[in-house]
Amino acid sequence: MTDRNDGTTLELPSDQEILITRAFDAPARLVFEAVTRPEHIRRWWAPRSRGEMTACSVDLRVGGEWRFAMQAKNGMNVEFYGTFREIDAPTRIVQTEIFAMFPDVVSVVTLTLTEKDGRTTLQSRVVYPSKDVRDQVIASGMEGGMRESYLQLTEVVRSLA
Amino acid sequence: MIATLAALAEPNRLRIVELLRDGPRAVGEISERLALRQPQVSKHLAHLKGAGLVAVRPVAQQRVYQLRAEPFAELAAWTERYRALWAERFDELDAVVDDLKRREKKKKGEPTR
Repeated sequence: MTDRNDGTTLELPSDQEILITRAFDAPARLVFEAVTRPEHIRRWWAPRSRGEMTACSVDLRVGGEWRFAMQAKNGMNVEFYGTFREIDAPTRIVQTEIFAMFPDVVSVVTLTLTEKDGRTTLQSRVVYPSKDVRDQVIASGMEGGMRESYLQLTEVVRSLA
Repeated sequence: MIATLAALAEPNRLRIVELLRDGPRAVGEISERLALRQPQVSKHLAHLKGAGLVAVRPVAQQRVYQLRAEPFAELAAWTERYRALWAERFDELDAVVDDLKRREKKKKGEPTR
């Protein structure tokens, strides 16, 4: 586990998972709103230091699609999309996640919001189709050297096909 | 990086690494502490040494193993880059959530008809 002063922790609970945890000083219903409404997502999903959000749509119902895209500062367009599988507002969402460059690689994200004394702990658990894919996602880090990482990921995906 | 992950992926090797976090140990001591046969421990230690995770030095008649810091620092740096992305996102999400809280307070503060 890595835990710095900013309170965001990353754990690798199994070979194919990443678990990210962060607490927010607000009730679950507000955190839920902030992570599901496009007008709010636009304000945080693409951190200012990294790029600009170019697409954001959310059809929040089971079977509905979501799509986020960001123009990274290194010029790359990074796009993710998926489908909602379970929605239990304001505590739980299960959705698929696909990185547009590799449409065959489907990950499953479970978001849980646990409220206690007015504070909410957000947990995002991503299950990747293999350990190799998970490791490449971490290695890419969404920044410098990303292109190389994606090229490596291409090879991983090819080897899985 | 890959050598580090592969070396740690074997449960008994991970147990050895965890034991060595408390300090250097001789092969016999590791074997005893973890209830593993000595030849098995020696095999795992050879693998860990090959991956650069441990160093060995002779002390009297014994071979004493200890962790090397570099591969673990590398592993931490590797996960840190990805974690940092989410940390940045969540810092901005804090501001969004604060605005929603303020908006809600304001609404509640308004007189109801």
